Amino acid sequence: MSDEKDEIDWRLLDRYIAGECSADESAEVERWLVANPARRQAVDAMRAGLRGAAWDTNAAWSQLSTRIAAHDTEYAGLSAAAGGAAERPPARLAPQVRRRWLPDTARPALRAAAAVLLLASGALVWTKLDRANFTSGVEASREVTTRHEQRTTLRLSDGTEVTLGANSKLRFANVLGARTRDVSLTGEAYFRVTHNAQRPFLVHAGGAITRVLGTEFGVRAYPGANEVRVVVATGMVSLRSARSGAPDSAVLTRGQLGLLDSSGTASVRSGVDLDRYLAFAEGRLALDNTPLSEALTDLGHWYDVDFRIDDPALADRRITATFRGESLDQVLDVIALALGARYERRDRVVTFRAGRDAQ
Amino acid sequence: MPSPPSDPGRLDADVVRRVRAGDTTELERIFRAHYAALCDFVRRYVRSRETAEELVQDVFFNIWTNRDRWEVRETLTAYLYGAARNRALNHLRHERTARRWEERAMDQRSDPAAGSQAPDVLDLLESEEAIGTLQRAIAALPERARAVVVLRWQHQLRYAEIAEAMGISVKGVENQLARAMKALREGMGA
Repeated sequence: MSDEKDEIDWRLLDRYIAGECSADESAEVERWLVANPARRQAVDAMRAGLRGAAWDTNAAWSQLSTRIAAHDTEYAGLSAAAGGAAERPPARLAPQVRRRWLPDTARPALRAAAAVLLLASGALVWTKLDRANFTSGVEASREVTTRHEQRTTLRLSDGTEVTLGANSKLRFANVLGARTRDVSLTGEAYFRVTHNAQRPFLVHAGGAITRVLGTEFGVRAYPGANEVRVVVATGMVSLRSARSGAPDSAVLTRGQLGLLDSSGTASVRSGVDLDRYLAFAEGRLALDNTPLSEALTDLGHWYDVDFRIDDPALADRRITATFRGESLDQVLDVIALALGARYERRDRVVTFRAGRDAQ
Repeated sequence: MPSPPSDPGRLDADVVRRVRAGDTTELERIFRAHYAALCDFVRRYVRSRETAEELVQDVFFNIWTNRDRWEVRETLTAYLYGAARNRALNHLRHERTARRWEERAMDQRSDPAAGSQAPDVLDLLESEEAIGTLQRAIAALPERARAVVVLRWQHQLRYAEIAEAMGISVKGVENQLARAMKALREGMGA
């Protein structure tokens, strides 16, 4: 083996740089390096230049574990709502408590009075603190739930304001992530996101991810619905499927409504009536030439009742009205009168029928 | 020769089994063991540290949310680098569209803080001339060769692991390394 040799087996040099050489092999490489200063400099540079940077693994784990906890809770909630057993046990199952806030037998007048009180105070919304089931880097997360006939507004750690609609649930870390701000939603909410270009705000809801930097928009993802609905009031948001690695399905700007179905396909409508879709944040229901079937879907999210329409023609009849804090019976009377229909109410089921003899 | 653990395949199979059973402690352990190195690796593909971290966290998030289908063929290390590379390449493909709407969104708001943070592409480059030359030489390599070089010399994966991570043969790894070695030495005049 000559010290002056020009060439060296690249495999030997490879093992040397990777730190896998025996003593003999190292000596051979060293001789080759010494013969030409440029070689030494190059190999030293390779080793030094391939050093890693510093990364904050603790912060990263804290963020990831929060995101995982939010996902698992959402997954558990969706499975329970679909009526099926979860395919696999989530790491942590938030107890799913669904209480009707007044018994069925409560008199309508009492229900109406209580509803107004709730709207006025917003104080009966219950929140729950819990801890993610991780051994370290634990960050407390919080879940806020509204029942029927309730809504509430809360402020997150980054200053973002969220108005949660009826029968809805929002889960978020007490301190939002440093790189992305993640919340998970079941139901409906209106977001006024504090602008931060370096920390996108991500709403995980019903298999969709809505990503924004700072804007105002509403998201609706009730269990059992076929699609997630996003309506943008100001700014711009992107909408994509929650499936891993999915690209943006749609980019929405002011006045646009995006629907993302379970296959991840988006459809976009422009120039929609914002009040129709976002008035819930102000405790109003604004119907504007809205088909009865759609109006009843909205009412079903607010009031704790199921609606049936026994005449297909009636389902397509349109109605224009604004409601704010009325009792269910008052609302039903207005609709029946407007459509010349009648309704029957039996416990939690309200059935609309065609006919002039309105109740 | 490399000195791997006595039987990495068996140990990794245990890790996979525990994660599949829903063991978050095990997930945390592998996250902590590999996070920084994976970020270094992905950082060579993307513009910002934040993006690199997001992509690497996505790798683990994906493992967790799809854990009942998680399989590791060669070693856990090979799986993680392979998944991280796929995410990085995927990200680059979608970056152009994403950047377009983000910039439009930023235009809408005149937030003085927005855009004040310059891209920190240079922060991992040492000032020393030779290292700068090397980084440029590495950056000039085709992606595949660059990934092989970095996985081999910085992250010290075995040939079989690199082959697994890249979805190529061991012979292919050798060819890429030989070519890269030649290009680097020429690039640095050694």
